[in-house]
Amino acid sequence: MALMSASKTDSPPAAANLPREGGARPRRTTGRSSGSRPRTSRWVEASMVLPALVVFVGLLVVPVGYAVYYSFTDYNGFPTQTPEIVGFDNYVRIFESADVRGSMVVTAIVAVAGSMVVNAAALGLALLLWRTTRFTAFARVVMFYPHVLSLIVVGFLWSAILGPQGAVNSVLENLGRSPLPFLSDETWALATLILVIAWAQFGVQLLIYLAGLQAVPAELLEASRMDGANRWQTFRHVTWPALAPSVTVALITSMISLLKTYDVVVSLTGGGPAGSTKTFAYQILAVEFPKRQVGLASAEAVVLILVAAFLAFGVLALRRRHDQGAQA
Amino acid sequence: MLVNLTDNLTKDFWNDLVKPFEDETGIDVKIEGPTGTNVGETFSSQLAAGTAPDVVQSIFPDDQIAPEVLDLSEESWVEDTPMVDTYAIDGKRLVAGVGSQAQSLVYYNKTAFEKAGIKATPQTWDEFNATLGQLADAGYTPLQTAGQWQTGLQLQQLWHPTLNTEQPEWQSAVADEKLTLGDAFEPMFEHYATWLGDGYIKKTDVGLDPTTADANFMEGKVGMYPLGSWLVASLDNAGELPFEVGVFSPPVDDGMAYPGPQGATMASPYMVYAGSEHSDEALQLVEYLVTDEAAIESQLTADGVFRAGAAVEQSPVATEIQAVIDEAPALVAVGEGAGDIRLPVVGLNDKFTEIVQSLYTGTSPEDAAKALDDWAEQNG
Amino acid sequence: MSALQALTGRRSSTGERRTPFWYATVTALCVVMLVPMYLLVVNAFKDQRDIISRPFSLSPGQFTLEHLAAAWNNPDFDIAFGYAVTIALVICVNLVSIGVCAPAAYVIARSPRPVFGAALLFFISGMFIPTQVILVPVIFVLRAIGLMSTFPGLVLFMASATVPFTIFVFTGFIRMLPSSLDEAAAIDGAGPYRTLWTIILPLMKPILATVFILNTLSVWNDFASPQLILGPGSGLYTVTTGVYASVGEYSADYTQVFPTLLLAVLPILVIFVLTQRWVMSGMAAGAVKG
Repeated sequence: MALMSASKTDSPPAAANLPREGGARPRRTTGRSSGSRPRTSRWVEASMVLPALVVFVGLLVVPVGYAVYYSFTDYNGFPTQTPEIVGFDNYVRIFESADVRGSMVVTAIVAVAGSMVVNAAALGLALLLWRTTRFTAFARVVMFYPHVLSLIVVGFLWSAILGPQGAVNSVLENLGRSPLPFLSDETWALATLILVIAWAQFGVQLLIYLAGLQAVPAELLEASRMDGANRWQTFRHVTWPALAPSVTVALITSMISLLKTYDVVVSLTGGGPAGSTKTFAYQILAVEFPKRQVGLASAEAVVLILVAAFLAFGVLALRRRHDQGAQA
Repeated sequence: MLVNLTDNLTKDFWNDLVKPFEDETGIDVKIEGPTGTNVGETFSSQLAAGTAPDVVQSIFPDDQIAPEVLDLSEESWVEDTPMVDTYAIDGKRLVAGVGSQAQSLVYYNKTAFEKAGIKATPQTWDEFNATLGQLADAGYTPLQTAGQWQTGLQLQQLWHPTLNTEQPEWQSAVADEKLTLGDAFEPMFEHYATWLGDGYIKKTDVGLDPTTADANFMEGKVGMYPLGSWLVASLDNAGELPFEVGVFSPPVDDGMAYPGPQGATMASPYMVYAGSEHSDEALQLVEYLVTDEAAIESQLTADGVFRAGAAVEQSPVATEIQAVIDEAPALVAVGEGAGDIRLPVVGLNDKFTEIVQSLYTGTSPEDAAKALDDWAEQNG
Repeated sequence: MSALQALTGRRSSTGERRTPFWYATVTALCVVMLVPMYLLVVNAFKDQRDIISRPFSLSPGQFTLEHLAAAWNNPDFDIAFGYAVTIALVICVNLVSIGVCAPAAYVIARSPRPVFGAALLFFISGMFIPTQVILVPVIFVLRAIGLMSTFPGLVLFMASATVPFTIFVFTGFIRMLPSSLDEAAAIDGAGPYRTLWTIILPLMKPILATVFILNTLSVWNDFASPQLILGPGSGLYTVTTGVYASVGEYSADYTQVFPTLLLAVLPILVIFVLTQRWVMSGMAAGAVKG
């Protein structure tokens, strides 16, 4: 569900398109203008917030706190062991260990290249499927369906198709060609991983762009066509500027979600060959934790949280700048 | 009980194995397979989660696991179990097994050898290289390898007799900093890289899963297939093969005595979780598994395990393996080592496989050896 | 323009002109998207030899149900059981998530006290936490409260992961609703719980549907959380962890891989095809506005 979380950071309060009551501006005004109604007791209010707060703090905030604490210890995770403080050793190891550095590079490549591929595919298809007809509605469903399959299944399916004895290579063999090392060469495997993720995930991005295209002013399109602009000029000068904010946000949000790539690595490549597809999340969950390196795994988790937060704030800042620009 | 599930050891096998014990004692035994990539990692995760099983099979203790499992030294039945003292840490017997598995074996296709005009199995690396060439000329896949955990393991298995002749107890030598891992394995990396370069090993093998590699060998397309003694169970179950299978001990350097020391591991090792709420029952179960004759016999035949004095009918291949074991000048620990002869790092096999796989994609033997040393340094 | 309209809108003045080339391109792309599904379906009915030698062939005469039946009856992975566990998870996570978030969002949206504004920011900050990477410390928390390796533990964690987003969109939605509604209810003597239940929740149907769809897809497809939290000892598995356990070990036995995967995806695909309009507009609404 990468893209769901991606979307979370797309910030303006929900449902801007809902019918606005009595012309009142949304946001706080409606909430704050209620001075006249009877006040709800603070205890009742607290009792309504408390359950959510407990669940949220207990299982998201406290674990982050644990991660920060353990990242400064040599804990191996066993209840019988007492963690010992080791200062910044684990953080030093992240940058000194070739394995961890390698997984950082892989993750960066997956996040950057993956979001490029996802967004290029989504944008291209959105332009192709812009108009709504029965046929395009069908095509949209076809483009979107892999998203409802879990990535673990997607990975196994593609490994059965692209493996050394998989469907594609057996056809090549029948044709007398030599097999292609989709999953057995380091570079190929990484490219395969990225393309498989893109295949499975670009559907949501496609929906974002389709919605974004609705914001392109029809009159402008019409006008530019009347002026004799060709398709590319129309795209460059009319469609693209209207779509640009969605592009920025979609790029960065898909990048955040790709930072967490784990499931598909497990089922498609198992991190191999030669560790060439081990992502950061894979390193944490499938390498360090089972090897009882809880301290190191926690330090890695902290680093990833910081990177994700940095990107997320980046989105918010971009978004705010855009909103202000739009108002000005 | 957490057990290893493999092609040989299915869940049905385990349920059948403990059935008589359940009937006799009324203790209900629940079989769990690993949810991680292997038993070792699953057990570590379970220890961290506080949900460790009462009994764990197939892994060995190390310094961190040792305090988490029961010391079996007081149990009288442990005395006569195979290799129990080889695996003791600081004199504590933490693990008991059923028998031993030979780790350094090369299975070969006798028909292929005949067709290729090979008279005798190779005893030195030069002869081995020549054999590979002859097999390739005769149209066979000279050497079958596979991906996943098997890549690194096969290379270690081939190199073990040579390495142990040159440096007995090499794991301790590494621990004492008299030898580096890279130096220990670089010559073998060179052999391997040459074979890859000459096409004796298919580059696509690195993406092959071990079951398919077994199947390739049994189809008769392959000349030689290095693996441990557990393959014999698959061979025996496969029924009539289109060729005759032979076994020999891997070659050694010129001037070394052949055969070299044979790698051996305790087979089907069991440990009891120290935090178990049912430790008495767990101990009874382990006692049953490693001493009951019927239980021993079914484990021996299921996974190519050997145990001195066990009266099990052996197939011809198993008899050849027995001969290889008997001829070996010594049985030695493999991989990270066992008991007190151990490497100063844990997690060697996974990293080792990764490094051997990098040879497939063009890493030079020197760089591979260096990567191994770097890893040992960063994780030691 | 809402996402729903984006998908079903009737605007026709824009977009590519539909030439034969356009049709050919879109059709070709659809085929590319569907090929894996085609392979999955046809190979689920074939023998290993057939799969390896002619994976693309479609010859119903040689189809066999044997492997599909074997996958269905696999003693190690009871697919029906996996489905039952997954569906139970989906229901429980949605109940917990919506159950704790709706009252909280209501108070945050309506109360004038500044502390609740701060609470909203606090909740929103949780959206930046990549849930998979904190699974390791989550294990220690669940261990401490005795819920490790249990169904409730997994439900609580999965629900907590949905809390920030859910509160965020609920609060935004409730703020759009006129507060005169609550005031009228309050004058009638209804407490905040009753107002929420009888007045607000019924109005929240669209956003509830969006949240339900997003939660359901994320719970359904999650692999890391059930893998680490349930573990082998619980005896429970979801569709994803069950597939991993039964296919991961035998990834070369295609007569096991294809039928198992087919059985695992078939129901969710059928449900998706039947409900695709709602799912896609829900996803778009969450994605665009979230």
